[in-house]
Amino acid sequence: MMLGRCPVCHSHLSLEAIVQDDAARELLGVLSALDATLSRALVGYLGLWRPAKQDLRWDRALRLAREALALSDDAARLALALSETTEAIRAKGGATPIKSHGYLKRVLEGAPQAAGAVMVAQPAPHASQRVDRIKAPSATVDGVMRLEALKRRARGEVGHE
Amino acid sequence: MSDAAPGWLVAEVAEGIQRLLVLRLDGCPPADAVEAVALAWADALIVRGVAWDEALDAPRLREAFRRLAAHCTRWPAPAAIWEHMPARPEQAKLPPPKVSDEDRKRALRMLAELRDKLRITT
Repeated sequence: MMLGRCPVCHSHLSLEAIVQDDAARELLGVLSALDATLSRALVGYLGLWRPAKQDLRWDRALRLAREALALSDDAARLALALSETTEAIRAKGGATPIKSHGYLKRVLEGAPQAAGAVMVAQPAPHASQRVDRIKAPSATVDGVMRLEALKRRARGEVGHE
Repeated sequence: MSDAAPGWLVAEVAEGIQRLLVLRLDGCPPADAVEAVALAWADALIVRGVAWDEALDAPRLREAFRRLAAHCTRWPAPAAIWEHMPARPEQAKLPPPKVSDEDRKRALRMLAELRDKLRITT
């Protein structure tokens, strides 16, 4: 069943492809376990990697998502850096796909504690709880990934990585 | 520890633990311990001595974790899974035997004889 095109990266979306492809299912599992802000920022960032004339492969998208998530334990800061990177590269035209996380790393380095500071400075009564909630997904995702690997080993499957 | 647990069972349990993990319940194990937790759960299920059958039990186990996730408010113990485990699907039954008129008459005749004998003995 064709779902259409992704509005972010313009890749084809097919339900069969998602269900049958281990990497696709795993990527959706990773994204769904993340805080909504971070997952949206990550999806936008992945769109920068799509080759001009073809879709971004699921296994490559999964690898890139893992690499990006590994860059920082601070989910709020990472979300901000991903969004800034995406916007900056799109503003420059973004006709060719990016080839490394270099730009993201520089943005991340240039934003020390920025996202955390914003979160802490928010006057909302539950600001500290929000920070905890945003930071928590990295541990959850890590656990989900470990269990995904265990499932593959238990089923005798060979991993993608 | 869980050497006796078949791969499909470990995989189903890992899937169930994943489901529970994303709920971030109180008492949730740390990320670096979840594999050990899944193996311990699989081992606990094996220890109960059920003759596990993948075709029959994998869907039950999946449903049990689904129900468990819907009901628990804290990280559960492995024993909680049994409270939510649906019964095995009932096996198809044989059709009722066909009884011919002759069989029915013979059975009635035997019953009549039996009644007579009982009347004699009593």
